Amino acid sequence: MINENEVKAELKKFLVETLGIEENALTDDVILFGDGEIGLGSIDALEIIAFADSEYGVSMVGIARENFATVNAITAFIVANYAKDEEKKEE
Amino acid sequence: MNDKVRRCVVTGMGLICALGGNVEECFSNAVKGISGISRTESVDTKGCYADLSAEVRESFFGDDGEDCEKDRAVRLALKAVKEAIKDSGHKFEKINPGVSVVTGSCVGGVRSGERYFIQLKENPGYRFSKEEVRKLIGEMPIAVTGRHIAEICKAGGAVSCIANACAAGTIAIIEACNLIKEGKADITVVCGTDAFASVPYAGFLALHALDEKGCSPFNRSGGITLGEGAGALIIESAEYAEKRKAKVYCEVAGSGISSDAFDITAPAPDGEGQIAAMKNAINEAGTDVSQIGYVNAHGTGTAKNDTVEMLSLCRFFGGNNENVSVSSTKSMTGHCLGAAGAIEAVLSIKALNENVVLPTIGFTEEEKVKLIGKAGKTDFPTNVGKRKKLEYVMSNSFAFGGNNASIIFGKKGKSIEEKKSEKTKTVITGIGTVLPDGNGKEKYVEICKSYNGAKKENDTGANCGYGEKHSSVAAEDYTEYGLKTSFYRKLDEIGKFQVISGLEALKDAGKEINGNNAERAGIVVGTSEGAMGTGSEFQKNIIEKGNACGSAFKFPNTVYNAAGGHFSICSGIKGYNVTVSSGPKSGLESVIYAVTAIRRGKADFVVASGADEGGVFLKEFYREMGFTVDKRNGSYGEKRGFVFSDGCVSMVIEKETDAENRGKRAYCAVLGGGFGNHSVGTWETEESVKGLETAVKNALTDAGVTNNDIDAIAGFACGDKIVDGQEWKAYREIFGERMKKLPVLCVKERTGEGRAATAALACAHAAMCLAGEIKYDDCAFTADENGKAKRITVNTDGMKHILVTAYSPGGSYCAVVLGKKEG
Repeated sequence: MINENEVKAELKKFLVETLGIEENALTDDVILFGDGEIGLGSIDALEIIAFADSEYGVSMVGIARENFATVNAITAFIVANYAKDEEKKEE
Repeated sequence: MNDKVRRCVVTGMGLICALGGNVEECFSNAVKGISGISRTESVDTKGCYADLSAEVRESFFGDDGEDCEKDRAVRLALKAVKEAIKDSGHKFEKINPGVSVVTGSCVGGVRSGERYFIQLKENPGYRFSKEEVRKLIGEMPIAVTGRHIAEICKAGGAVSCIANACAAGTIAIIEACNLIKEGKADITVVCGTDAFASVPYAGFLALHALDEKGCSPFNRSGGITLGEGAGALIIESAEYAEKRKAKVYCEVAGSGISSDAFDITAPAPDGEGQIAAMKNAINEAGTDVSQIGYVNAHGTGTAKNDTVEMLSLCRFFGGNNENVSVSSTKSMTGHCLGAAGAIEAVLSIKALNENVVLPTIGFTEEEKVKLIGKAGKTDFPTNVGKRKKLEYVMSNSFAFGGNNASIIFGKKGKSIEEKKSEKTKTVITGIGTVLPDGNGKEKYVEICKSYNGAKKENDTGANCGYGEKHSSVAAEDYTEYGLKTSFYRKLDEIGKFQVISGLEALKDAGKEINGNNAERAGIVVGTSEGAMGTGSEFQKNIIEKGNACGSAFKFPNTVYNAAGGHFSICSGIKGYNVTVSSGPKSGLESVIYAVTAIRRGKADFVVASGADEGGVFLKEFYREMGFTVDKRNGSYGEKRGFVFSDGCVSMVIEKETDAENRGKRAYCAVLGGGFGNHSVGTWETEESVKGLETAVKNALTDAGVTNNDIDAIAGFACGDKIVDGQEWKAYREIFGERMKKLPVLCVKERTGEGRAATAALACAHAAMCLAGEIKYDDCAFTADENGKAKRITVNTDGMKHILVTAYSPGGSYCAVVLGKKEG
């Protein structure tokens, strides 16, 4: 199992340091993509996919858009799918 | 010769790419539809989803002697250039001010950089010898190729490098023609070159933009396949070619450049920018759309490019020309980045001469049927070339940063008689600065007032501490211009500098970009090292973690024209957009390019900038090269080295009549500019005085003034005795005893060596002196009784003409003359 808060903290650190998002604007439920304040695009999505894969071994390729919507959504996806991977390993 | 419109003809060509080692071989294979794409050998593809590329085989180089030791991009360039020179019949035996060099490149010497970083990774703390440093990181900047070429063709005119990523090769040809049309060159040696390397490979891989099956433009459109190579052209004035009875391949009939102002990587979906570039080219050529027989498309093979390009081609030609044939030769050569435009120009010109249209390859019978469904009546020849009578051909290149370029080559020229034309008068109406001591023009003027260099007789500036200061932009700078975090978070340092200083210059000029003027507004960014800082960070990361781990976020900023692209996006400027990267002088060169663009009718007003960032790697680069010191040496002294600095200075240059019509007071007039070169080794400056003398002479002639009219010089002294010594020697040669009274203003005394930023600052500083905004300058020098430099304080009142000069290592210089505007 992994700690949800730790994943969230790591994800936020990544979003601030790698994608240049302002720390103050990065709340757990702010909309990340689209025309809003954060305004992430397709290149940023590629970086988030690479982050999830390299840090947690979780593949986010081809999944539904809503899983990228907010910090909470990405964290939830990583935690849920990391757990699944752990189960697979145990099996 | 300066007041005439001159026609440009191609008299020599050279080519090396995955299809072969010379023009005939490459063209013959392209007609047959042979692919140069195969499994990658020179770059590690472990763990990467795509492993195909179009590499140049070693056998294609033949016996190229010492050139095989050089950086791969340089080696490719020299192979193509030597073929082109031989083909043209030129001998180039002695230095000729009528010969200029214009290169185009995207990633330049990244292969040399790779060797440097690998050595450091494998041997931490390794101390490179001076020779190793020059061979490795010394070959990294994309400007270096031009210096090598200038040596072999004995160029005495401009040595300029275009850095517009994948459109660089095409824009290099366009700018070479501008030099000829402006009377600044008789002959230009043009070369687009790029080597296949891990940086672009890992970058496009990270963007998921490589096609694992090999690119298939206008067909499967699953991504690009990278290639490498060089295309070279000898372009000269028709008059010059005729006089020497040269073989002429074609005329460069017309060209167009535009910006999408949309996105840094993706083309604007409506194709308007691409259409604007083609339309401008047709207008300049004076041809009709119906006369274009063949289009060598950009045709990268990505879904986004192919969809938009198909749309723009069908919209542009549909209904106007049902005979046009379109193909992408990248299906055979791979995408050769900055070399692509030059390679495709050579292939297009051969097609024109041989009356053959080249194919896009890789189509099955089923796919051919689908293509007809997409392309409608427009002919897209597939798999093999076919015969077709051609009069005009077009070659298009579209690049990151939203840069579009289109060029037309024609068999038939217009009237051989050269027409006289009036030079459009230009003025500077806006200035913006981002400098180590603070941002904004007002702040700079304040610093000039407070500096007291002249009061300390023996001041060496040792305690000024510039080495510790760096330019920066903060959230409040963005807020002032209403920029959103979502935009500026994407910018690297040079992009941030460019955006803020450019927007300030527009504001200062009172220019608002809107639907009426966006397409007539232009951008020229001059930069010495451009994106080398971001590029090296990207490179170090993939060397550490592997080519499968490139950063998709960082990659777009590894191209030198990213700063200009970001600026076009936030300002809305949709016209002429050129990034020039020819060393520190690029900052002043941007002013000459801007004036040329206005004179040539390519823009009504242009934001001309000099921009260079600092950062860890670039500091390391200059230190390793042995150029920098921590504490500033006084100008024209006896010590070596300068203090490394950074920043960006932008100027709005517009037609004098436009400024008058809108009641805008100009800082000054830009009367003319000129180039000069005296090759002395790629990173040397000693013994290059003649280059500066030529540049000054050409600038004075272009401006229509004599050296007696010059009241001051805004020079380039940086505190290094070699650089400063060459400068002082040239002024004494040109101005003689007048140097006792003629002040040389040294802006780098206040800012350090900011490279392109301070070259542009010298121009902006002179403009502010002529406008009366800087009344006293205490960083000035005149000659003493013995002809040596003596520090003085000068009153700028009454100055009518100021000469501005700039240098680059290798012996290349440029100069501009500014004139006071009365009233």
